[in-house]
Amino acid sequence: MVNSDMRGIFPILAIPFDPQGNIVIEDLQHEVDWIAGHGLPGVGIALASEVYKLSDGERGIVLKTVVEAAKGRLKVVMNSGHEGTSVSINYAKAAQDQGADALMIKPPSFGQLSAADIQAYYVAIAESVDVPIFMQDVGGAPVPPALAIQMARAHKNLCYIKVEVAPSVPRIAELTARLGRSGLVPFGGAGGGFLLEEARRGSQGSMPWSVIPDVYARVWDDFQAGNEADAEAEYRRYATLNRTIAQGMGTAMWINDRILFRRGIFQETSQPRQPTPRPDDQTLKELDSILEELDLIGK
Amino acid sequence: MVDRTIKGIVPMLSTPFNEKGQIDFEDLQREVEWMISVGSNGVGIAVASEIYKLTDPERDQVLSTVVKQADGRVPVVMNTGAMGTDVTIYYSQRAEELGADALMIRPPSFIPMPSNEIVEFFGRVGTTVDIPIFQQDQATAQISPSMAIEIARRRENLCYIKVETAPTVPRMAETAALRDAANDGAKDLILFGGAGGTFLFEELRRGAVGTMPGSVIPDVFVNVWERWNDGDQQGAETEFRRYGALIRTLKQPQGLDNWIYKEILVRRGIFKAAFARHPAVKPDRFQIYELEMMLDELELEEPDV
Repeated sequence: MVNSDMRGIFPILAIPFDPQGNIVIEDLQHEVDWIAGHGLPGVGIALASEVYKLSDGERGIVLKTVVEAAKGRLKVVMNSGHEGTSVSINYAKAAQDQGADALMIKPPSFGQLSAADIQAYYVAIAESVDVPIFMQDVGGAPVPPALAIQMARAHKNLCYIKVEVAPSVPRIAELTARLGRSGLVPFGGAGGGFLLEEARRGSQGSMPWSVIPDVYARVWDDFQAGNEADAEAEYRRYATLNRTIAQGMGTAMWINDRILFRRGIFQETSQPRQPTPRPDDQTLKELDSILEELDLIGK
Repeated sequence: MVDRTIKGIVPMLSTPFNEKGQIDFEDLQREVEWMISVGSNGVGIAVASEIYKLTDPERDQVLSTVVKQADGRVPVVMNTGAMGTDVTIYYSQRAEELGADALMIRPPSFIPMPSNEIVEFFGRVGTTVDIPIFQQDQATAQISPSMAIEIARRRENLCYIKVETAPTVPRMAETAALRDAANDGAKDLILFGGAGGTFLFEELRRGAVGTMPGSVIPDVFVNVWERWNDGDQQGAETEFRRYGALIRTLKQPQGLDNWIYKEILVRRGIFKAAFARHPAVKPDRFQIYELEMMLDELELEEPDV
């Protein structure tokens, strides 16, 4: 039986690198342990983790480290997409063997593909593994609602979608209205910018950054318990921080690593892998002022 | 002499339409009056105004209405970018004739052009008018910092740029650094932020002298801008952060943003109806509920116009 029961907040891990570009395993373990401690249901290793900058060997090391540090407390979602179907199948099988509970895959986007080609790509991967797959719907490689539902019907493993094409709010509403008996489970993403708006329209969870798991746990639980007004008022306090993180995938990595340092999870030297545009010192000062106002320093 | 004095908060007007999609000029006048009464430093007619959904006669009517209402109290910026140089020149000269104080022009983008063609485009348009031009750098029609400098060199009225390609914060810093290193006409390039004013203070700190947000909270933008200029930087930033969730809500593309602007303008007593011209993604009933929840929490002041 494929596990289609995943719900809730699955932060996408930041991967810490030292200044030479080596993975800082100890910081990564710390990050996973910290997130598990806040009671969240899972984590992801994906684009925000710079998975596309890892060698094949490192993908395995990172996944293994995360699975071990999770100690069964967290489901682990591994982004295993690749531009070529056969490589993507190999990545998917390897991730499953190394303990991933689910995969996340965006459509190949280097060349232009038809809907039928995209479906064939996903079905070929789905047939080669037992774990469920999150189809990733992103700006440069969209999975439109109608296609997503068609694919969910085509294979039982294709039972999740993470919707990230802006505007995501009406997109999730459209998807939810069409779900029928497809069994497809919608998730939000895109840094959790519209977390509660998406939940109100049928998303069953989200994959935000990993830097405020405590806030997500609180807000999501409140929302699920019916305390919408409290959840919204609390979450709005973090809008400026979320905006600061969401300045493109490069800047976001630096800012997330800095926040994780400020919160006591990463070492000060932990940083993204090159090439990544580094924010100026002024940006780090501005970030500190936001973190101070939110009382997030050292905790 | 080219006017180089535009700075501060220059809101981009929403164009009011009734349910049939016809322009409501009375609401437009009220909107302009409100912008000026709260202390805005100018107004603009541009992408947020759905200018690309107006016929040519409507462009003229909207601009004339805004110019007449502004009555010289604040400068009026008109977006005149088009996909061809000749059409852009036609729109630009027409806008100058009708009383626009400045133009804003986005590079042709339907067929992507190499940077030298874009520089040439601005050079040609610049020589056909006397009023200043804002170069509009936007994700789908980018003007890199080095291109902006080259364009500014071409003619003295190509002296403003609105930086909107994300991430705007380092881009503003890079443009300012290149400008400051120039020893010719490009040293006079004046930087503005845009993209909804999301990074207002980060951009000001890096060389911007103003921003062009939407027209729904001009009072808030003017208030924090003035506090900032009075030396209360921290107070201005803390106050501005209260509006983070609202500003995020305004930044949903594909026309959803236009609808939401107008739903707010109706609730603030400026517009009679909320309607964005087709095609535009329309908000659902939840969106209205969410918006009202946010507006309630912010306790915005009732406009006095």
